Amino acid sequence: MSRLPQGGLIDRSQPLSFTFDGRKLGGFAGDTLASALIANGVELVGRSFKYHRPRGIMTAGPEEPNALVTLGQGARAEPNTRATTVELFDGLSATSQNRWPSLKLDLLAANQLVAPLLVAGFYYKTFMWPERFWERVYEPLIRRAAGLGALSGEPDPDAYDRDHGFCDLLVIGGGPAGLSAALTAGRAGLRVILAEEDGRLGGRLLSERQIIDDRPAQDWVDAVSVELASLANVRVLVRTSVFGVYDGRTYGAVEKVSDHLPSSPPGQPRQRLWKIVAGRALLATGAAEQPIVFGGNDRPGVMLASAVSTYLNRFAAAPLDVRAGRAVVFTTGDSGWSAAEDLVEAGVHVAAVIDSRPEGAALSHDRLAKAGVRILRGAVVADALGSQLKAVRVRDSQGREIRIAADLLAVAGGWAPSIGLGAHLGRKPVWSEDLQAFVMGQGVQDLTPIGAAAGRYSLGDALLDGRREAERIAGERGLTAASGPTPKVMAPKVMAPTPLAASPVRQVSGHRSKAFVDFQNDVTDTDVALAVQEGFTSVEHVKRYTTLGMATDQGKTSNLNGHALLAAATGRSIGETGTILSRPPHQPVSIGVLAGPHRDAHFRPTRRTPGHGWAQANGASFVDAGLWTRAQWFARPGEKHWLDTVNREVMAVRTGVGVCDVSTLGKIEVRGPDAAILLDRLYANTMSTLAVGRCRYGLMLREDGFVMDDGAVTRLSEQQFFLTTTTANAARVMQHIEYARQVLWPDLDVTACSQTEQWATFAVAGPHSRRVLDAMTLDLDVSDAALPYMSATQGRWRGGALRLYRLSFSGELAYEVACPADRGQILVEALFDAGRELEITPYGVEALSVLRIEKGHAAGAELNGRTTAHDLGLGRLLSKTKPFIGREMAARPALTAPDRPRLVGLKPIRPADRIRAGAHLVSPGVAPIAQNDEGHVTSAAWSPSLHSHVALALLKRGPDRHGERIIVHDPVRGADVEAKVTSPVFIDPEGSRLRG
Amino acid sequence: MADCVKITALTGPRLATIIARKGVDALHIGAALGLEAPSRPGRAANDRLALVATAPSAWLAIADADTGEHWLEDLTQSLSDLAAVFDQSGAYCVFRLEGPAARQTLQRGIAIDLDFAVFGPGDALVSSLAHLDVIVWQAGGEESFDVAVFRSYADAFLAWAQRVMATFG
Repeated sequence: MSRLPQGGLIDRSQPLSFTFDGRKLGGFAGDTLASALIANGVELVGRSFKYHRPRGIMTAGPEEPNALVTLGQGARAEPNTRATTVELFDGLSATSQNRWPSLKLDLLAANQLVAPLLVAGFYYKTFMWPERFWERVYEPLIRRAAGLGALSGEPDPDAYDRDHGFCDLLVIGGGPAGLSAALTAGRAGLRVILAEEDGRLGGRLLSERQIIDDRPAQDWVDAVSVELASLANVRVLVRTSVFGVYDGRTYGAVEKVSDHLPSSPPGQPRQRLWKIVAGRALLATGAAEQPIVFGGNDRPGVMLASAVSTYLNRFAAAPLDVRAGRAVVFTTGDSGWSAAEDLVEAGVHVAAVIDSRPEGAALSHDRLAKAGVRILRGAVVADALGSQLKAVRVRDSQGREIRIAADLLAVAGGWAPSIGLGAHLGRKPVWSEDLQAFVMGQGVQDLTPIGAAAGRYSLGDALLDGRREAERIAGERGLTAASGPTPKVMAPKVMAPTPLAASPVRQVSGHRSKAFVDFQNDVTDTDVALAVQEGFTSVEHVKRYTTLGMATDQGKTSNLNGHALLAAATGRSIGETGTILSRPPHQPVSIGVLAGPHRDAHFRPTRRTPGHGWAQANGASFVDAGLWTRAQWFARPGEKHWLDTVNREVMAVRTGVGVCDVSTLGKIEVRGPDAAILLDRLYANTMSTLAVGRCRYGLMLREDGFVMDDGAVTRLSEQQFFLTTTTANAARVMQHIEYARQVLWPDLDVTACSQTEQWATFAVAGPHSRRVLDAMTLDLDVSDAALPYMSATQGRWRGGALRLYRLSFSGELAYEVACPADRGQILVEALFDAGRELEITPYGVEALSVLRIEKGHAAGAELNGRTTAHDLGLGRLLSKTKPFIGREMAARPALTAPDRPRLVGLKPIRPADRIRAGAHLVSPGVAPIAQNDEGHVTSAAWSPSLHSHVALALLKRGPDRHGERIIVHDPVRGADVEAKVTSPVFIDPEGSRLRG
Repeated sequence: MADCVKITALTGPRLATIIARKGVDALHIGAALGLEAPSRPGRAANDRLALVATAPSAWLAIADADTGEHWLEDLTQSLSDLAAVFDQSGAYCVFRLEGPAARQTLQRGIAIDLDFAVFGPGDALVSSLAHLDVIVWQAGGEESFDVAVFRSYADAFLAWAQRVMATFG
């Protein structure tokens, strides 16, 4: 193998160095990793999946099945990267995969000794006995043997971005057809996006020696690129691969922003995910050459003919030693002859051209015969010999065997239009007898194939297709394209792929060594035959049973041959047999780019309360509580355990005064002449009787009668109500209200608006709470007479609005103080200023939770969507005089059955015994099995007020069983605990602390 | 280049949500305020007040920081039988993105076409950006975008914007 002395599109003024398996090698800017390896004479690049056979580079494009390497090291290591698509950069490091200890000596190739046991579906028939070996022996072994590359296991250090594109026309593919279309549409004034997955535009023109308008095709590509770049309405995205077609004319694409650089420049993402909405799209993805199934067709040294041309023409790299090497070409159609001509042009000795057809490619035949190349017609290659190619065994038209020494075998098995994307919306490809290939199903209106993707393989056709379709699409929008003259394509010296003879050779009979159909998954022609023998005769079954087409290349070089073999084995035509439906993503897509910036701490946006800054400055530890970031507790120096902190906070509220940021509660204002009517219909209890300036606990049911949410309703004026909801249900309740207002009862004159964000709210709780408010000089009467329990008032404070609600979640004397959220910081600072003498204590959600459990208040764990008002001891709230949502369904017998689990408190007989939420309840002396289950623990806490663990639970006939003993059974986490059933209100059951 | 796009937090704009009462349409609202109340996703403004339509029969009303103390009462008064007016001055932070790359920056996060041919000074949108709810309009010219986001998400929005702005150099 060597680098040709001149030619190619590489930049010889920019040498690059890289390593492969630790070996230092050199290349040039413009090389891919594959072309550089070839130029350095590296033939062996990997070991196959199942059999660990030595493998080399087979193609020059994204359909490559063999040359999978791990790129990079450490956290950036990326396994299963196709060497043919990696743009070489200075310092690139790559390692081969799936071999131990080394690529040359791979002991795992011992697999081949048991190859007869490893045929298709072997794992359905093995590893079954003894049963207990599965988990301990077989599975770990299989895990170690399976897979190709390995993940680094380290966090991904790269950043990924997202963008949205909108256009009249999306052109997928920047080859001659795509460029022609983009240019025509761009000139006509359409908004165009052109996506090309290579690093440069040109497609096949980069690999073939074509002439356009009497100049090398590359000049035409350059001129078009310049013009496209100058058009403001055209966006050219290179290194961008469209991976999926979705409903609503939406396309997914990945742009490789920095993959071709040693590392991402500061601020730049590694890759970018595009969501593109396009009025119309053109599929200009070309066609992929297919291999032929013969013995040893996977050997290093066997390469697709078009790939040979690409390496010679684009990369000036010969896949064999130019001086000493011998090349053989095996073709079933005209296009293989181009590779032969390219090889001769490069000075390579072409030992033979083997064409399975008796006739064809007459001009090329003459030229090569004159050059002394041996030509065999009606002949086939039956076997490739040598663990790295040494010779080929040919069977000529008379059936004689001829052995020809060869270092390179260029294989041309016909072309298949690359139409994978065209099937994403469910339209199966259809068989074309003329092309002997599958083409896109008709009627995918918004996506049209052009050029080779449509089976029109000649360059002239590609250029025409692009122009014609772009003109048609422009015409749909009333625009005309000033296209200029059609580019003139010289009658090709290069043989265009032409439709093959009917029934071209896809499989060579009488081969003596393994013949591969799917290279990446090591599926042989015998495997396909075995599948048919075992009754798997549909393409979808054969795929799953043999794993043909299931590797990362998704059958791009195996489906056609595989389905042809299946057809032959089942006596059907290929058309009848059909092919599989490809699904997004068309190429492997990293999960990182799909996640974009939304990962780790940024998985969801951080949502902060108005008091966040103050809490942070005062030593809060934070916790994610639903969508919000909330202060969990405020540890003081010297407090070693969080429980010490929480206990202190709880006792501060019970004996002094504490402040908690409760801004996260949902808040909604409902206004209008019919506001009271709406609320009566939404809440189980009555709100229309609520006096102005008073608050009332409200219970909302779902339509099916279960409790949806609870909160407090305050009547601010005759027609103005202020509602609170639980934090978790804020959005749900707002939707519920809007649904009622807009859909159920649009005749009501009522409006509603979310105010959750408008108000910062702080709970000031404890026996000294009123004294804090007094010290704030609020210009409001906060005496018990003026502001009794469950009432509210409002006024102005320091130039802004202020509201005061006397509500208690903790069971102590308490208030909720609220001001507009932009002034929340000022308010909380003022509260702490005012309460300094009283040792006012900040408390977080942990203490908040302990306080409400001690008070027996139902919260999220009890309002879990499966409890009714009766279950929670709130049955008396259900109005008997007015209709409300959920009323009828709540009366169903199953929801009012007497032995439903109902809310109780639990206290362990030994106070130090811990009760945990989720534990189940059984009567003493009864077996703790499901049939005897009597309920479960919903919330639990250590109560510093009672010096005991306490819990809330739902227990069958709970309220009738106060005083009874019950066993708390927690098999997952600990020993059983004996507890006493009590009222859920552990603190101040008479409620005297709340009043006065 | 740092001057491709810059972001500032507008301090103190007065904001309120106007929701029309039953039977009241945009024309009535507009007549009462002396200003068009857009009935499609759009924005209309005079020298005192701007209205951004955020839903059928709902608008975000925006006035400058130096508007008088009784702005909310005045607005409520003008619309007394026609609509409910809800103070939102504390609820939203409004950020202004300006510069040649402002449009591109926002397009990174919003799945609605922001091309200058289809989104201009008379337009508005309500959508999601990086999992945040945003309201977007133009008030300062073609290269200037105002983004209203809930106060609780202001830091998250700023972090997103700074990260995207960094990709423009």
